[in-house]
Amino acid sequence: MMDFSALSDRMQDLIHTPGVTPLAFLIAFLAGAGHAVAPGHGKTLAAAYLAGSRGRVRDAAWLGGSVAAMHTFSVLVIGIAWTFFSLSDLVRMEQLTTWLQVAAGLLIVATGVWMLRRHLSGHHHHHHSHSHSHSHDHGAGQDHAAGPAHAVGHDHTVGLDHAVGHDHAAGSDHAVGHDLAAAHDHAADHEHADGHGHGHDHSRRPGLLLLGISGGLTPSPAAFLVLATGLFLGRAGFALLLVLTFGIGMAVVLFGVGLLAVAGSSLVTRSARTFTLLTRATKVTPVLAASGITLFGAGLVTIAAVHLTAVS
Amino acid sequence: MVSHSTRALVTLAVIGAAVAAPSPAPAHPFGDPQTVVISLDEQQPDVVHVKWRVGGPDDLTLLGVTLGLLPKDRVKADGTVDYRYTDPGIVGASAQFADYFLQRIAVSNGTQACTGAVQQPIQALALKGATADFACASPVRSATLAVRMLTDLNPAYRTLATGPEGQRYVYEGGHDSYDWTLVGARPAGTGKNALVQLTAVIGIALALVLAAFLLVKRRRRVVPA
Repeated sequence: MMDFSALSDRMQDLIHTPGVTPLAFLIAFLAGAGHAVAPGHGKTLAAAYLAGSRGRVRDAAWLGGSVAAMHTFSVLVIGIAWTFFSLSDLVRMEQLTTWLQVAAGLLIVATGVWMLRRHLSGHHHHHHSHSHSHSHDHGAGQDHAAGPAHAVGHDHTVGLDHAVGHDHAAGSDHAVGHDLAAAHDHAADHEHADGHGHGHDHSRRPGLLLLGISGGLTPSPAAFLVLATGLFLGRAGFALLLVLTFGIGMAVVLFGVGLLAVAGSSLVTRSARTFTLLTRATKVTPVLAASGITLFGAGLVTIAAVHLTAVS
Repeated sequence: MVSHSTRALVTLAVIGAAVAAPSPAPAHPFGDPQTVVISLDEQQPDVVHVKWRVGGPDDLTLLGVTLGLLPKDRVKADGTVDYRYTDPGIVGASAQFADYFLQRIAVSNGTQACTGAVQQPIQALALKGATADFACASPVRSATLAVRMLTDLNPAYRTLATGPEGQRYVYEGGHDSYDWTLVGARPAGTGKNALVQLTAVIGIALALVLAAFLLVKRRRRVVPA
């Protein structure tokens, strides 16, 4: 098994070694991936969220990307504050990271509650008629005939997948060449997920971004140390590139986990139309996932709060 | 037909979310880095002050165990440390810690070593650190400071050091000695230098992200799904 603390140590060595070597980036990438592989970095959350919200490949990419961006930002802000603004005189790093863990936990709870509310309200109003105007212009090459009930006034399930940011009316890209016939199955439990480039994934993004921010909020000590060392040695640019690469390593792991969850859940969902038991299972999965995420967040907040009393 | 493994995967993911434990505290020695500040006494030009502050308080527990001040079972077999809030007080009050400080941190003025004494009493060691006064034979303009704190516990420990006029250095294995200009140092300009470098990297990264975003958007418009 690879020793990731050795990788982190090697990364620190390379920031001290003159020159910029490709090896440094490889090590930073592996250290980031290793950091994400370690327990408790949102992999199970990502999987649960994507399975629970019937996410797509693009959602997994969003999740990985937002973790990388947030982690880099967090390391950068704390590294600069620590190096140049005497942050350590105000708050010990251990206290700061514990507070950040509390914040991350609260974000996760918020995501879980948001998922639960969204799902439950979606079920209760399943046939609520959603009166948005569907006035887009279906251009050439769209086989509209095979898409059932896609006329004016079709039932959109408010709060399931359409609720947030779904912009049918305001001249969205909806008209541009998407094939409504392929999988636009409004009749079958309102599933938009399969291969339908509709922009409905916008509705999952608030949750994804919250999870991403939560996953990247607490800086990895190794990445923080690389940036602080780089700032001390006058190699801030190189250090930031390494931190970015570290974040990309984290993102790739989370993306991979997300892909597995997406593949798993879409297979189950697709087959669920045939099997009654599975249909029930796919309906329960989002609730389980949302509850799991909420519980996880609550657990994280509790543990961080207990830790906070120990370090303060 | 849906495969059992797929169903298992989704179920595991959901159950995992509910029961998975959050990450443990950062392992040694990659937590908060230890720091050193070197300065010249304002009244006595032959006295150099070196202030050391630990990174994480549990590093002091580890040190206390190594110095024989705390029971060995406070460091678990897996390397985790059982920290107690009384540990810094026990370590700071001991003669062993003062001896250790002066063994691991040394100041010399040219070829002559300066004589160190740790300021007593040490209060709030974890929070405020400890300071030693090094009396040199003659007024000091520049001094060589050697720092090897905690590297005997683990060679991966590093010390981030600052000196007058924004001078900075990172002590680590193989780089445990550095010359500091204590009188007449020119501003190091590390802050400005860092700002330029960071702005350049952030600017390029944002430009790349924007370019990728525009490329994807254009492709979506051009290529029908």
